[in-house]
Parts: sequence; structure tokens; C-alpha cells
Amino acid sequence: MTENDRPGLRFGFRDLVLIIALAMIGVIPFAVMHNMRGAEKSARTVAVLTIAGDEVWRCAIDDGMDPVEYSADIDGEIFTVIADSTGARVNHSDCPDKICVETGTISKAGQTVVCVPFRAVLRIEYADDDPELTDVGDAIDAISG
Amino acid sequence: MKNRTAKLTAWGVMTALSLVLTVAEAMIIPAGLFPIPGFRLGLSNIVILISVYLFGAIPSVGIVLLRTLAVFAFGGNLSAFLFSLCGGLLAVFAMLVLRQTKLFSLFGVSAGGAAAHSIGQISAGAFLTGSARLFLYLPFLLWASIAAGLLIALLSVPIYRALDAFFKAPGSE
Repeated sequence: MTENDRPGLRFGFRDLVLIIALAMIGVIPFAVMHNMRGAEKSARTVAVLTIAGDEVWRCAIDDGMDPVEYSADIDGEIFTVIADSTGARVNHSDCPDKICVETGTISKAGQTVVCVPFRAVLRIEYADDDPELTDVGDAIDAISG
Repeated sequence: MKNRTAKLTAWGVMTALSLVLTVAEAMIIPAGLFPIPGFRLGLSNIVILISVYLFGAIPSVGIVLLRTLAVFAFGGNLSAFLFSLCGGLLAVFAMLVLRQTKLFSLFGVSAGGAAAHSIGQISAGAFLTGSARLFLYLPFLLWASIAAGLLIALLSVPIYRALDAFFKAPGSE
């Protein structure tokens, strides 16, 4: 057993400074993404599905549209998404905890549903947007591990 | 505690405890209890935090590795394993470094470890999904983790006091 000096067991000022500094780290991704945002946005949105970083499906969200379904076979497991006039959702997933399914429908640009076991990301973005530069208002809604 | 057998026994017991706490937490606290997906209280970090203080670097890293491998072996999936490994290793390294600086109390060290755990998890997630957007989820996980880290430190203080006294007692050498 190594002989240690008795450590501080009481919360101190330096701990507070450290915690504030750590909490600030969380703000960095928002600041970076906001700075990268494009200035002009169209009102139209599209649902985009990527699996392992590759875009596999893209569907425009329009008022009064009929639901459009897309199923991906990921190593024999089924992952199904649906886009309709209200937005897009993960309709079915063979992943263990199904957090992605429970998240429900996303409709605003920047919202995202992530299914980590299948490495799948369903997101809404503006129709004329660069895929990585969409609004990040209330970005990621679900992470399923 | 200089006896080699006593050391190994203590490390083994701590590893077992950390494994039991991980499994028990998963059974007792349902995954959807907290509104932040992917967030866990991390009760087993009590063991890691105390190990960092009582045993030092190598046993602490060893406990994290063995716990992660054991959870994976008992039915975890590969993505959960990568998450735990990245998060767990970053957390223990952060705790060791913060401990070494002697600037912070157990609370600062624990919160730092918890924050590093979140960053490790998100990095693993971003790597797995190929999407940097996962980092947008970092603030929620990070802030919740820091709070959990402070709670873990609060729970660890009496346990650390008791174990420290036990290992320094005359009969334990």
C-alpha cells in the first residue's frame, strides 16, 4: 500500500473553480456549431438517416405528404424510420433498449435521434443546408447505448 | 499494508465490489429513471475513487479494466463495452492526475473523473456513429455527471475514512 498524505475530504474553493471550469467545457460544442451555422435558411426541412457515418436515406418533409417508410438491414437486425408531415421518427429498432423508438417524432431542424448500437443517426435539417451546419436549438434528443 | 498477499486480496475485493455495484445499479435503478439517456449514477466509481487514494495508479487502472471486461463477459454488447472502456479509463486517468496535483479535495477529484467519463463516452459515441453532432449532447451528460460525481464523493468520504483507518491499523501489516 502506498503511503498517501491524508487527502482533503472537504469541499473547497478550488473544487468549486474546477467544477465551474468543467461545466464550461459543455458549452464549447454549442458555441462551435453556432459559429458554423449558415446564415440563410429555407423553411423546408428534410429527414436524413446516416448509418456508421454514411447517409443512407433522405426524405423531404412536406405538409400533407403521405408517410414514407425506410427500413435498413443492419447485420440482420431491422431498423425502420418513417417520415410524414409531422416530422420523422424511428418506428422500429431491434436494438436492446429501444430508446430511439421511445424518443418519438422529431420535427425541427437540428433535432436528432441517435441509436448507438446500430450507429444510426436520424436528423432533421433545412432542405438547403450543409449537413453538418444545421440549427442546434435543442439538438440531440436520444442516445441509446 | 506491505504484505503482498494482503495487497492482492484488497485489490481483488475492490474489483469484486466494483463489479457488484455496477451490476446492482443496473438492476435497482432502471435505465429510464433519469431523464438524460445514457446517464448512470456510477456507484462503482466509489470503489475507483477510493482505490485512487488508497492504492495508486496501477491497481486503480487494473480495477477499471477488469470491471469493464467482466461486465462485457457477463452479457454486455460491444458498443456498451467501448463506451465503458473509454469513459472508465479517461475517468481514472483524470482522477489520478487531479489527485497528484494535491490542489483538490476528494470532491474535485471525483467531479473531474465524472466529467472525463462523459467526455470519453461521447467521444466513443461520436466515433461509433461517425457523427460529431453527438458532442451537442455533451453539456447535458457532463452537468449531470458532475452532480453525480459530487454525490459519489459524498458517499466515499466515510468509506475512505474507515478503510484508511483499517489499512493503517497495526494488525493490517
